[in-house]
Amino acid sequence: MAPQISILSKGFSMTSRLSEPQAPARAGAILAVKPLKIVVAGGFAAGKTTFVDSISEITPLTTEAAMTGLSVGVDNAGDVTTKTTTTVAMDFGRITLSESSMLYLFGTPGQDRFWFMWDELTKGAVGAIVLVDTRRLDQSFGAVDYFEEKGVPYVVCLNTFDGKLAHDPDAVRSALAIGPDIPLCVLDARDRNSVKASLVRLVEHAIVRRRLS
Amino acid sequence: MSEERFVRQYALVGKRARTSAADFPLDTLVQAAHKGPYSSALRQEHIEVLHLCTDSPISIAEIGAHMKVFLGVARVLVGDLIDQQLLVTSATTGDGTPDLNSLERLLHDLKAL
Repeated sequence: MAPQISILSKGFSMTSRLSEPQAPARAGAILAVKPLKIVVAGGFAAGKTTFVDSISEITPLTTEAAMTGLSVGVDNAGDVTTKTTTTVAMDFGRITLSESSMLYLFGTPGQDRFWFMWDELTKGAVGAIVLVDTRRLDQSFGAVDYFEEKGVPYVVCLNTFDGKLAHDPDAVRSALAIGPDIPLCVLDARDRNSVKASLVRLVEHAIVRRRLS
Repeated sequence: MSEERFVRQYALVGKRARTSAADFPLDTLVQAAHKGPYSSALRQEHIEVLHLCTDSPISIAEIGAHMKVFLGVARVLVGDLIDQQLLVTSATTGDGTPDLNSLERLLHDLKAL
């Protein structure tokens, strides 16, 4: 049987501390600039980093987080524990919008077992882009379900590879069981204007959602 | 992951990690409170953080990426410097979607890109 991994959030373990409130900025002075963030999700090789690179003012950077857990052997008395560490990497980019706001685009870690990181990434986010490779539709289910469940505004973007889509947008909408209120667009992740248009679409959608809430 | 790498980073932040209130979201922006010179009592890693954000604010995620340390380590280093009032932070993204004003400004700014 596989060892059970539990996420510990004590001390040095660099987990996102999911249940704790965010720390207010301390120590007096506060910068005039505020961060905003958009999450870019999608399956392996769906084009997340390409998407970020197309519009970011910096070459996408990679930040790593480590998750520390305890593996407890089930076939011993329970007093033997082994510390295990898993690392998760996220690519991200940045756009300076004005003197008062900086937009960050964070690519989600691909594997589903890193959901703990998704929680930190989506907290306070404007919304999410779900990048879909129409040849691998199944890889998008996790992201769509996650954003639906968390109530995060999202748009589904079909990334054309070599100008082709394996399925037309209507078929994808039905296959992913996406409601009619969720915007669906076709883009080329390598093209800046295409990426920009999808971000605009997302923010418009987030505004509609915000007005309804 | 490499055990050595983990241990090395642990050594970097030491015991402080257990007590530091370094719970800033990864997109929190920070900037050096002044251009130095800095106290020689500061560790090299702290100076490195300050140099990364002397001219313009950057996020904790960027500090982690540039220094090739885990996010948690970057948070602790940033926390140390805030405690010493050597870093100034931005407001953080809240828990929910930003307010309508912020969203509308973002839409305007994005279209103007």
